Amino acid sequence: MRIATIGLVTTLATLAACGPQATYKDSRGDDLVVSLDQPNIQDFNLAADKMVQSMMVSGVLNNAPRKPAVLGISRIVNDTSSQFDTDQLTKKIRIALLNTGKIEVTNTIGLDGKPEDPMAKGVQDMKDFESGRSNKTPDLPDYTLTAKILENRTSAGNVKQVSYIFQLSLTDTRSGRGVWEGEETITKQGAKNSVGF
Amino acid sequence: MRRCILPLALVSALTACNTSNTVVPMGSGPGQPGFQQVLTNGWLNSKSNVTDVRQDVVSGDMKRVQVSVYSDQLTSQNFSYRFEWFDASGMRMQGAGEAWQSRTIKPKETIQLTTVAPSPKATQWQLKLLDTNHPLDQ
Repeated sequence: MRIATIGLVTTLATLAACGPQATYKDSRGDDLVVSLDQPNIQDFNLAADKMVQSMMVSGVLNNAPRKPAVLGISRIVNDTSSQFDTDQLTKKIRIALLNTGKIEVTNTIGLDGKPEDPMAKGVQDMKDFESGRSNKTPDLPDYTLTAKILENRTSAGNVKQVSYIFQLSLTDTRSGRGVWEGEETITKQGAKNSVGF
Repeated sequence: MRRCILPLALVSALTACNTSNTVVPMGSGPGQPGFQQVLTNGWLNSKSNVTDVRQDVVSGDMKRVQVSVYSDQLTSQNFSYRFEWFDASGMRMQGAGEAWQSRTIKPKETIQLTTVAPSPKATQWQLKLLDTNHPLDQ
């Protein structure tokens, strides 16, 4: 009896010490690692979802000069202590906006005159040259999108709290005025990183 | 040995109870369409009981949904939820609103969960609710 119990406890302890094996997870699931030292993929998912929904609810794109309106991606600033590619946020927003059918994103006009897709820009210029329209005004965006990601940290005892603040602004290029702004704050609290909500 | 098996069996049986509840609207038009709940988790339902569903249209052609959720518990509770969208053919659509979200609900409180369709083609939806602090997880 005692030997069987000791054997069971030893086996369980050994298994626990090994830790779980690596497995694939649903990237939008509820059992992903939650970190207190950096934004997680679910934070970007949630922020992008909320932002796009807020933009749709505002109805701002109903006033666009054409449908679908053309969007240019402007400056995206990561002002947190973590290093990450801001495309983790902007790409999700772009995909979601494209899915609404209300916006198309220009890849031939970019920040500081650098197109996101240089080949598309070259082909566009070549086509314009061949058709004798090389002096035509390029297809300028109707709106531009800027974003900033901020971080706020605090703690009480051994409980740490971190907030990631996602700020987005949509500017109408006809007036230069901001026509929609969104802010989404995602707060995480705990003593250490964990798995799931 | 028999003494070990009983607690292990009890733990595994109770852990298996952490299943999701699903809410499906009875109609697709704006207003209060009525709804149907598929309940597989009574504990979860006691802290996230859907009492009301509303639908309207934003931005011209995008469906918006608001679901009221009531907690009958005497302490603050957490649960997570996700809206899933489908097109007119019933095919699942990926996009905004697909991420699981966690919410805290206070005792005897009613809160609203809101979402907007990812596309004008998204006409049908369902809401999935999942427990995030099952008593055994505490």
